[in-house]
Amino acid sequence: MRKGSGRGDEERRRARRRRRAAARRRSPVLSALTSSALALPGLAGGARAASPVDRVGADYNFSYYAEDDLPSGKLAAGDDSRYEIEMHQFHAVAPLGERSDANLDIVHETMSGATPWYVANSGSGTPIQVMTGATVDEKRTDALLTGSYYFERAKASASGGFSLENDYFSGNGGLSGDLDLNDKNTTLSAGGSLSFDTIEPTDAALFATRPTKEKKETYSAFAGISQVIRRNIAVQSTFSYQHGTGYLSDPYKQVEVAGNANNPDRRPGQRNQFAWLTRYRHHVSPVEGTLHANYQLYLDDWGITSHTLELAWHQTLFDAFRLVPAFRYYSQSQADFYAPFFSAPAQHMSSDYRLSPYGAISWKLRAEVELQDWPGKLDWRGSFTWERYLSGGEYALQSVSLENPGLVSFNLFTIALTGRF
Amino acid sequence: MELRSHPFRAMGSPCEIRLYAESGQRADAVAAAARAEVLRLESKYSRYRDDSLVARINRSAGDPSGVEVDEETAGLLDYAATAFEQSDGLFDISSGVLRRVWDFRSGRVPEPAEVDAVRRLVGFEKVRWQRPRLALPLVGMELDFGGYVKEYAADRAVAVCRQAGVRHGLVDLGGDLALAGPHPDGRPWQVGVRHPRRPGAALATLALAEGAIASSGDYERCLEVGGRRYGHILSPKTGWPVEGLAGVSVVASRCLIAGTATTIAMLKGSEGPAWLDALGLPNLRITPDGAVSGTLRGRSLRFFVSGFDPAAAAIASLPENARTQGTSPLRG
Amino acid sequence: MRARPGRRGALAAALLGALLLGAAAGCAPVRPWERDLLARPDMAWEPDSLEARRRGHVFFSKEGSLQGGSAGGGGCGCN
Repeated sequence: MRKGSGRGDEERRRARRRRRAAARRRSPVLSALTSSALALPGLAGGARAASPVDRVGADYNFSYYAEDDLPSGKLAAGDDSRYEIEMHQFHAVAPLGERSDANLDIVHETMSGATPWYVANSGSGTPIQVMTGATVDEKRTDALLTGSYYFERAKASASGGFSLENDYFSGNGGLSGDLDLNDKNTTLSAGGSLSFDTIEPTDAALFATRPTKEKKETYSAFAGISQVIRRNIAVQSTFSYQHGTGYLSDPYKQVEVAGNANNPDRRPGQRNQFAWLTRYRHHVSPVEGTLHANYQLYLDDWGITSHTLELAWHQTLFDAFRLVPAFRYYSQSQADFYAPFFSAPAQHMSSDYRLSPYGAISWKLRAEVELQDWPGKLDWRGSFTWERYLSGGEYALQSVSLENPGLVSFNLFTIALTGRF
Repeated sequence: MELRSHPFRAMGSPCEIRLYAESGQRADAVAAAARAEVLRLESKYSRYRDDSLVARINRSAGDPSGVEVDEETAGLLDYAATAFEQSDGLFDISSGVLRRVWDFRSGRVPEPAEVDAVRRLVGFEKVRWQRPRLALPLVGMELDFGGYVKEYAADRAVAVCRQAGVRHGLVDLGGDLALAGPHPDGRPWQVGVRHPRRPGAALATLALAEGAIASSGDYERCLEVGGRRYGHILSPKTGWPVEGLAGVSVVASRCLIAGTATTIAMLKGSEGPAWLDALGLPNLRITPDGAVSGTLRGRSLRFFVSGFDPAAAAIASLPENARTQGTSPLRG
Repeated sequence: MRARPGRRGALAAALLGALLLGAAAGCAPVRPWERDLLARPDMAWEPDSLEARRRGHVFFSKEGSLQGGSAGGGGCGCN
């Protein structure tokens, strides 16, 4: 028997394209029926934009962060073993009535290790790093409470929290909102927050360059839009702005000027930062995998421009397992007042590697398992993640002539457990 | 979240309300309220009860002053008027009187004269609807809400659930189904679409998280008298059965809209598929010879390409030229 | 305050406009009952909020940029 002719296939394809094109135009018949139907009593309420959680949830993560030792060629003096952090994160969420919910985030971390102190000129013009002596067990506790109220097509949230270390206190608060449009295909988000910080550096009396007490204020705002493109594709773009004022320098760092390291790290008293982040999500049904792609462009008035690209592939296997390999690329330019060391003093000076020009790549792998309805209506999720981060002048987009010797590389291991009750 | 299922019988079909709530008692209470809403609409718009609103309206036929109707009925009449207009007169709630001459159970085909006699009572354009007054000018005219009150009841039952704070559940009135929301974890419901020719079998299973689905079908085998076939779907314009799709299912934001779409698609006869394509709602349709098409084809998780299996096999083995020769061996 | 950010800011705004126009042109409105895939956890902007916070904190502490997105929270002495 003869198979169907090519002409038949072409006709079917054309018919399918016509159908899809017709479906995209909103039919006037459908519009008329819809407005008439929605006029009937009680039929107008649509699907809630988002809804509060309907049950209590809790998450616990334990992370171990370990920076690579400073390579011996880059070490001038001090301890070469860098930061090690053990981090405990706790999160709980619960519904509050039918239209609201509350979230509590608590972080407690223990830090130990040496940090970069100042960069010295090795004599031949090569910068080398002088490290502090290793500190023992610094602790930080951070808590954030967020409440959200849900309307038919909108959500409003308020948050407040603090961060506490032996030398640092920060209190913060913020408000944000979401608005759903176009049948929830488009969402507008915006918000603002502020933070008031006080720093009382330890051992201030021992170091002439170290202040005893300083304050810092930060004001930030963001606005963004999310758009559903297809059943399986969504895009989000967000603009963020942050204004910092007060003491923005690092009290534990110093700068070498003409061979003398007894100069404080001195940064401007103001900073304006802009970030534009775009996220793309694309689910591929036949393989049950989802692509995540994020790109951020960052600029500030200290002269730093940076680019961040993150790619991740979320692969679901046998319904209950997920494997997520991910890659991150980062590149930044230097701050105007940055140099590894100086020959003459300037109004603003810093040799902090975080203001230097460099790039970084990181690889991450996460393995996750889900367990539903055990026992009863409890749902669980457990995961293990490993991330390896490397930074260097060679990874930057621009060419870096003098890489800061204090650039850091690290491993981050995390085990996580989530429960929904 | 507790899941409760409440089966019951209403509008001549097996119905079910399934929903999630904080406790079993709350779920039972909300389901009872939703069920009560369905029964309220059944008795208000029932053709069979002397004390129903519809009976009162139909008794007033011939009286030029007509009757005054409530907000809800006014809304339903406005909707019927819109659907009448948008379907070029095919969706017509005054066409119920055709029942008087077409008795499918007896297997009797009426005389053309009988059909013409009843046809003069059919035509929504004749109905005088000026909110809030409704008048049926000719004695014997009838309004039949049965063609869409079941779908409306599904939407109303879901509205009752949502007003009570229930965001996860569904109301199923004999296959016309409206969702209050997906399972609490966001998973959609698996909804089966009834096969028009194989009782108890599913034509397709669709995953729905929001919205509604309605189906129309020529579920009974057609009447065969004197070598001619007569379907059960009567055109209000001619008074005679239409020949078109065997079954159609449509997904929409409201069961009422989905149901209107399926009714009109069935009445459009051979133009049904093209009309559905232009409407733009996800749909699934099956022709009398078993061919399945529509935007939902292939989206189903479990999809049975069905038809009359022995006949389908027979068609597949026929040589090409025999297939193009007009009437298939299934007909006649 | 240097002039550089201004020009780059204008370029950024133009790119965003182009992206959004492109996205809007390719959109097919997705009806509420078709949102099954969008509700998947792996289609969320941040499937794991704790991981997002943690990594955001690490990069804020070890790099020189803002961490975009909208997660709340305040300052710390890490930077």
